[in-house]
Amino acid sequence: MRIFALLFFTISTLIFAEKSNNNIAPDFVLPDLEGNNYRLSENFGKGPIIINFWATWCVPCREEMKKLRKIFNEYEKDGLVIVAISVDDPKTVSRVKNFIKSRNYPFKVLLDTNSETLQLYQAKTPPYTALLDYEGNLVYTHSGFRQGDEKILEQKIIELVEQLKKEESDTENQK
Amino acid sequence: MGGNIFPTGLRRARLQVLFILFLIHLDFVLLAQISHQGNNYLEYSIDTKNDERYFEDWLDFSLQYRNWRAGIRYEFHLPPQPFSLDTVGQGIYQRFIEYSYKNFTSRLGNFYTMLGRGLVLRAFEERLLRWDTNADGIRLLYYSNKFDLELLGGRMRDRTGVRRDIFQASQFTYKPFSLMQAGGTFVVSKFNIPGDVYWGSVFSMLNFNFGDFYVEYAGKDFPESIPEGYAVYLAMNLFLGPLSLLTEYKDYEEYKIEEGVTYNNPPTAIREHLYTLLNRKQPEQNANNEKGYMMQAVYPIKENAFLTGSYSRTNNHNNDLQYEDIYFQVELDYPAYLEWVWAGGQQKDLVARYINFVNTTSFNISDFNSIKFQLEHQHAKTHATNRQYYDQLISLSFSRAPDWTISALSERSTDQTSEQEFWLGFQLDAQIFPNYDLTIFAGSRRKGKLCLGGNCVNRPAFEGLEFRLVNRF
Repeated sequence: MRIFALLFFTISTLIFAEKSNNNIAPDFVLPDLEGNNYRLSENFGKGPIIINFWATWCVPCREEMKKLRKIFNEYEKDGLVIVAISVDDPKTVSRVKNFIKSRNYPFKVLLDTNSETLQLYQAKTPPYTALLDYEGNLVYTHSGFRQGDEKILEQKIIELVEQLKKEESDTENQK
Repeated sequence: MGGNIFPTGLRRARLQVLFILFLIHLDFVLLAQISHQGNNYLEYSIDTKNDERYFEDWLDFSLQYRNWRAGIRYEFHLPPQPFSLDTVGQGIYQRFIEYSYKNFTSRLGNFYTMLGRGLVLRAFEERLLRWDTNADGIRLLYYSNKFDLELLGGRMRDRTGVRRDIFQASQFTYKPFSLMQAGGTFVVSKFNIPGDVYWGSVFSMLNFNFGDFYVEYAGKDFPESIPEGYAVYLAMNLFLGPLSLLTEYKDYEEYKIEEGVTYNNPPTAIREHLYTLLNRKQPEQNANNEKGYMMQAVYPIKENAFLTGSYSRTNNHNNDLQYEDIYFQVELDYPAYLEWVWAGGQQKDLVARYINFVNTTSFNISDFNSIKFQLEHQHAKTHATNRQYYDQLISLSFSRAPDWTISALSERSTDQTSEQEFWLGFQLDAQIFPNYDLTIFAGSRRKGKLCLGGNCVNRPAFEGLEFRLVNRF
């Protein structure tokens, strides 16, 4: 009886411990520029997701967004989605749409006026960037922006895309 | 029924072993499913001129288990920065437990929130200003495609850390069509002085491909000892081909809801400047007596070149000018390794008129190395005495991604009333490990106003050494 109990505990513990290897990104619901609610977890499985926290008053954010546009244009075909979360306060929230439209950024723009989602991702100030894989796991985070940071982000995206292609190829071969 | 219900001897030992095993098992099971997040923000300054030390820290830690999340914030201010209203102390300043299920979220403990555009209620943190008016209470949220509902209540914190009167608030947003939203907010509180008070707002938002429109009207019902007040805010975006136009309008009369705690924080409807010298001249908001507007136009000349122009003006209700701002900006990325920003304009407040010029040049030497040069020049002429002077700020930085940036920052002033003429500092920003960002500043920095969203603090002059370490785990 005791051996059975020990065995049960050990196996179940290992099973649960195995599950802890994943690192699912914290889920959130935020309004977009049209006032519709966007839930992050409903978009898992479609492609890599870049979550970029920014603000209209943040100079490095503006520099980073220009680089993100180039990355988006390159990897949109691989399902890449960029969720640009503005942490502008109520004073500047009307300026977010103006900023995005005037620069024609092709991102999904959300509003986090209380910076709650920023805090959920344990970031303090924008810019803050998180990369999620196809299953919604956090694979890379970065705070601040320096010229060249986008190269590292791009490399991580390439790794994700290649990994998926390899997995798809392996599945095809097994068939 | 005369048997001993408490096991003794060997049986008790076996049960204890099984119980411990069960706890270990439970622990592993829970640990496997619990995710944790945390970050720490530490600042330590040595002010050599005044022989003062400031040591502050904010540690946030939260655990998530399925639909549950719980967190705490530990802070110490030993002592706080001189511009902070926080008192000397340490301890757990925030704690919460949250439960989310589908479109419903409830939280017990500390939270931040904003109703409408902040005309009636806004609990928020702005650490640069040492501003934290979080609420401690309960918050319930429900989202759907047709409507959103937020119910909350508790006590908000003032900037010294004291929580005062209980408030209850709600916001309802109805979304009948994808192009339209409308709703209302309502707050009730029983202040010790002046007594029962009610305030609230109605708002509406329209969204089209060619633009959007937002309007909010807020009123208050205070006892007779407090003057009647109202607040109106409008914002409109128009997209005419490549041209983007933004207009904001405000009219605030006796609408600063402040009973020890500042409850609301309406939009400023002025341009919020990114540059240090221009930012210093921004006005502090006076929601009791101001009206005005801001207009902004952005036009992309090419994919790599943008023109921006804006005009904002704020008067009081006697039509006396309080603040005026004319601003233009050119952004150009050309050739590919150079990024330019030229900006200029004029600000006018109750003290003086300021003519501004800014130049920023970024040179991308290689994929990972870059140099940035920034010059800000501000010429001032006072209204009362026609006294003239200028302030000039120059910074030069070299960055190597993703590891570090080193900068030299200098400021010069010909203002005769200034305590000194020249300030010089050096700053290192470095990622010392993944998720560990260190900033070290050494040198002197001029005193000055820092404004964010209409809230301002006067930061004293500094000379010495500053450390800031931010890490996430």
